[in-house]
Amino acid sequence: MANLVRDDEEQLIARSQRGDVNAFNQLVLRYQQMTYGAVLRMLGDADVAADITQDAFIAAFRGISSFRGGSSFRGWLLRIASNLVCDHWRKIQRHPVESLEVLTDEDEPHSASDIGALVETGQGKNPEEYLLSQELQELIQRGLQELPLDQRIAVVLCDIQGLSYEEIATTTQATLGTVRSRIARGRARLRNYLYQYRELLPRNYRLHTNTD
Amino acid sequence: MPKHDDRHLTTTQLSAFIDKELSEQELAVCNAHLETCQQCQSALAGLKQTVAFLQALPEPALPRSFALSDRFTYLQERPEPQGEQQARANPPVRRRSGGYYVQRSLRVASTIAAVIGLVFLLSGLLPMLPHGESTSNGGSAPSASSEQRPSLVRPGITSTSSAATATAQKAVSADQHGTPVRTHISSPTPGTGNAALTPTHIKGAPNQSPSKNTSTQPSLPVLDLGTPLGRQEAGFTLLVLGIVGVLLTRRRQRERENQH
Repeated sequence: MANLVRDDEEQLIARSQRGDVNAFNQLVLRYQQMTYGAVLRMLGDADVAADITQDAFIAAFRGISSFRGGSSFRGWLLRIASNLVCDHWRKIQRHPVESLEVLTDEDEPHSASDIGALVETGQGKNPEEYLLSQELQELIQRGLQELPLDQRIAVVLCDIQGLSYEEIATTTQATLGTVRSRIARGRARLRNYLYQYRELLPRNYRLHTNTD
Repeated sequence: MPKHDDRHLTTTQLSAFIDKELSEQELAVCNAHLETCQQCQSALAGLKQTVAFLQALPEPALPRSFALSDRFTYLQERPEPQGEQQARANPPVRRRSGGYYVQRSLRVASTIAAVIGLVFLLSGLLPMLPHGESTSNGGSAPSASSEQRPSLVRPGITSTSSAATATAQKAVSADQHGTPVRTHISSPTPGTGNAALTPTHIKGAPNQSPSKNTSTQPSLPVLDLGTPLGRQEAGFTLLVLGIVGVLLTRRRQRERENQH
């Protein structure tokens, strides 16, 4: 089954390389959720993320002749997208009109009642069991945006997109050691950010879910 | 080699430990240390929790489909040995296609201008042709055109030379104003125009009259479409502009094609 999908994908890529927009659009349908999700987590702004996702697919179609079969199309797309994210980031850093400041000014979580003790020991927890409240999602997103861009991209690719260190190294054109340290520093920083709000939250998330 | 228990694990080690991205040797060190170190255990737990939160983030709803429009032409690049710069190559798509449309519309506009110009030129020419054969009674349009020039140049003269032929008038006005003498004016004597010569004179006139008028009368309206002369002038200008426009856009297109 997985092989079938891969063969199919290779055919679609080959047709796209001959200029077939319809074939490429099948790839778009397959990967747009993943691409948009990654870009949105990297930037936090839905409109900008949509624009960059669109630009990424246009750039991908234009440059698809340079895509080599065998490597991961997903990783290649993510590289295009994260390059565009970097370009955008540099642009708004040069003209820091609104962007981040506005978002981080109001850091206070509105309602803390249903957010767990964020950094309490949580060994053995199954991630799938989490159903994050809207507030907690926003808090995590804000925490992500606090990270330096290279750490943010590495963390998003690793923990949200599930890429291996090696894939991230290829995607971000960095060495394995750099990737490792970016992920570690990003996670630690995000942990510290979330930790600030621990005082506002119920002490023991685990206990809370157990008593339910 | 440091002892396991007296040196805490770094964040990088803990983070890579979560992802199982440690070498066997590092993994052994970490496991041994974590067995005994409460502090590193809780640091690890904090990182794990953070990762778990990130993994639990739901996929955002797509705002729209990002499929490309099949009506739009996305210029694809030639295959290159390296695919490094492709990611940044997005903006030129639009710029190039935008330029293409601008150029395309410029060319269409130039062609239209040239055609209109030609029509104007011909519409100015046509009424003059029959005028040469019938000098005596003269249609309304030709007589208007013949009288237009002197009246524009100097109104006082027209009253005296109302019955004269077109050539005579032209010759007189040319002489009086001291304008550069044209080829056909130098031969006949003023006053009585040779009937056989008139058609050729008049045919020659439309081409030369604009230059004469502009030289003698700087304040002449540029686009006086009410008169055949004005139409000719406008037509001539449009024709020239149109031809220049077509030539320019064609050359630019050829350059562009060479680039690809």
